[in-house]
Amino acid sequence: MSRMHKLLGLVVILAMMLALAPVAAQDVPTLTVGFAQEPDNMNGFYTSMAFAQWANDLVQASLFDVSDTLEFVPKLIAEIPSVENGGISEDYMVYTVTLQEGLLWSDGTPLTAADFVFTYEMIKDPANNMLQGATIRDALESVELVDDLTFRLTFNSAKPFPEDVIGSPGPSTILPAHVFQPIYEAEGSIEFAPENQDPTVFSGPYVLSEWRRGESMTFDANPNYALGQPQIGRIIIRFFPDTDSQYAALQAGQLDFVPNVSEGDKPRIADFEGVSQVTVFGGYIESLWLNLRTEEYPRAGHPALQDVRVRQAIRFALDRQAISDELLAGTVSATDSIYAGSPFENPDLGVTAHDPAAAEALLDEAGWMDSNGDGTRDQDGVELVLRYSTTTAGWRNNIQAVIQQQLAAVGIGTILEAYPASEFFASWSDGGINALGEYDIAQYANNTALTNPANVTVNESLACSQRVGDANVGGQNFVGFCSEAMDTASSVTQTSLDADERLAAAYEIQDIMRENAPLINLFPRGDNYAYVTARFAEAPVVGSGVGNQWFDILNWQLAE
Amino acid sequence: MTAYLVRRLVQSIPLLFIISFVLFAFTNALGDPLAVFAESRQRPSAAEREMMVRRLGLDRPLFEQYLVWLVGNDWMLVDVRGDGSVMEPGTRRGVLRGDLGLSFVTRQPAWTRIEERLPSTLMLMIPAYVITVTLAIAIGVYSATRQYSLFDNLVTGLSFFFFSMPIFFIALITIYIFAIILPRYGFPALPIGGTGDGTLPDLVLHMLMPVFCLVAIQLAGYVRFIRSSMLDVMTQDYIRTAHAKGLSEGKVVQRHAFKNAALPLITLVGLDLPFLLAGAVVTERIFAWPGMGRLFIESFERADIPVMMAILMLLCVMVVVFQLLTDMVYTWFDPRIRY
Repeated sequence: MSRMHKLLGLVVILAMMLALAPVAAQDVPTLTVGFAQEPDNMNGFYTSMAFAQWANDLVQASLFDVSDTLEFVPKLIAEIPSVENGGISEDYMVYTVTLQEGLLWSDGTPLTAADFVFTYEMIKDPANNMLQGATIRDALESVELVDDLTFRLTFNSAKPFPEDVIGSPGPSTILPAHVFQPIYEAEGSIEFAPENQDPTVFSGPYVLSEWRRGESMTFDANPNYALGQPQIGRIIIRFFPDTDSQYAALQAGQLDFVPNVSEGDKPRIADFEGVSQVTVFGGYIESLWLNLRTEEYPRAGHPALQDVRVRQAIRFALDRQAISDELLAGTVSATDSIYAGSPFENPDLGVTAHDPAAAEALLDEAGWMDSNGDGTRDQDGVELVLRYSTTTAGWRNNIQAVIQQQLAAVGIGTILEAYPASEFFASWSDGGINALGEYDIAQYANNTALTNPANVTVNESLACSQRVGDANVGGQNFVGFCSEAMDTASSVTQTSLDADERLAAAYEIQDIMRENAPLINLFPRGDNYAYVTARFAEAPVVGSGVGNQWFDILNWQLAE
Repeated sequence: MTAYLVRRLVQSIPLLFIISFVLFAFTNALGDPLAVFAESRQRPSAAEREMMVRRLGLDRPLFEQYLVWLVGNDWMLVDVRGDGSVMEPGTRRGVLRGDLGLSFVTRQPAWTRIEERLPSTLMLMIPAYVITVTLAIAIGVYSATRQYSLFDNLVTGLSFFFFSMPIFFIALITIYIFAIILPRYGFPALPIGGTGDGTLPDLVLHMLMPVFCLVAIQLAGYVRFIRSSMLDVMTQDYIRTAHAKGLSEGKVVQRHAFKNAALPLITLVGLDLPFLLAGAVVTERIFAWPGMGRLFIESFERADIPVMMAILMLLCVMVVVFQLLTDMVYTWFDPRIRY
């Protein structure tokens, strides 16, 4: 046989192999999902990554979930505990939780209250070095097994919000005691348990069948899931670190469903034929944080920002609707509420209109005039030029450019800066841009309130006690804002047992924030999802960013 | 030869120490591994962040961190709570005893993370490199022997065309053409991303686009290099002598010209081979290929210092090893070379 014949033979064999490739087609209804990042851990207590939480939520059942409309949906729990049904004591310090009957782990072992007791014991033990669960660890006095279906938690202070201590977004991970207990007893910690990376036993609607590192995860329906069987038998999550190729795969129909679509990408996905998008409450607000720190810090903010009139003028100068229309396809709306989108947003707060004349009047009143005719306002020889920093995310940089123009129109100059997130958000000790105050305006998202009015942005990022500095290197307040009135109201939102009182405090916080403007809210950021319309029998109901995006997965159905 | 190899190996030891310290300092300056939590919905509290910093040893001076990375900390006590109340023996053995550290991100050994990705990278990079070098030799030699012919001009033009294009552009255009546009006209769509379902045919299908892009971007440089090297040799006296002896063009090129022109190519290949282990950062990212290049970028984005250091040190060692191998191959190609 000549060399040419051999070569031809090889080509024919290769062609046949390629032609046979479709033989491996999936034989169960399969949903292919694209993730931008690979989960870093399959034990929810050891990750803070949204993608890891989403993957975990497929295989983990919570006591209860939060729906797309922020309502509690019981899952493993028989009834959501309340003072009325006796599940919570009058002083909100004791929770008695009863599970549904007949719950099983995926390997057929009964899932009982003992698993929850073990889980809370693991949270409580600092040797486990858990990333999550600190609020429970510090507050939990004891956990006791009442019977196979019931356990009791006793806290050292009132815990008015069940979701913080027994549900999503609290400990939505349950550790199978029959798997982890031997490891804990042998090692003294479950931190490095192989099960964290390669779990084998699950409580949720799916089991993790295969994890091809760097490439994909395959989930198959859990036959022992007590709450029913999903109609989609298999979910494959594929990792696409590059959004352009991820969206190309969506456009080509090689992906069915893509979470975490950024605001900046929504317009182009809207142009994809046969692709729909859905947005749910995300729990974030994109904001401009103003550096109010003074000379005692390594870098003080621009002196003009100490004057509240200048801060308010900046808000008047912004045309947030134009940003939405020009850069985000009109998909977001401006807000002045730090509780935007949550049930605790004050509907009467209103939104500051774009009013350059009002901005100029306030700046004039504050004494910032353009005395040297260079187009930028100044005072006592100091030009009103602000360092405006953010991360290197493209859509943020586009917003920077538009805001630069809008501020220039009222005589405020800006110097635009962009840093990698690891540099921008680095800690005080690591010389982080944000932590050290190397900015006058910093753009990034703040958390809003979720299912209760305790707002982490208010509690931490704007609290007096959290102001970062050499004496408080772990502080989370990087703008230097301090208001005793707001701290008091914040405390009420966290600890009051009276829902009306908490709501009133939340409204007061919104008023203080709007008046003092230590940060300027741009728009609430939803959680955006894109999917191939024809792949679904009907539009999928996606959970809010607060809880579990798959809370309704049992009802998702693929088209024939 | 043996003495030379031993001398080179001994010389490389202090070099690797110096490189390791420089790399350690650079990777530590890249950012805060905890910065990733800043915009997280389940943001760890300040106390938890402090605990993590201590656990990762990031609160220690750089030299001390380097020392722990090098020789471990199982010989010293670690202040667990930061207040001296709980002192426990360390658990790390250090690089010199084969412990590359634990990934900050997954809490797995850094070497495990490399082991997961290395086969995929080699699966992509070796075929792409073999195709590149083979095509480059064929085209480069042909172009050199027919200088300024239509083929030579065409290849030169195409070389510069691909050479001047950024890889991400070629990759995205390739995806757009072969996965989106052509299927609209009835052609089968090429798969985007990953290595397929585990079968060989599917793997080959998934390799087509990334391998094409890697070859397209690398080929130009090699073709130009070989062409110019061949042109240098073809004007030498011994080539003229070979022609004068009546040898055919093929034999002159194959036995006399190419063997001598290949020496610089060996140097180039010797320098490039270790970097096949590093993967192709952009290509792997765009084609969602689970390789080392992506691992490095992912580690970089999350300031996962142990994994970054493990990858970089692996490359450093490989560069030293391949340089030694290159020196040995020289002696086979050119018997005049002695060490």
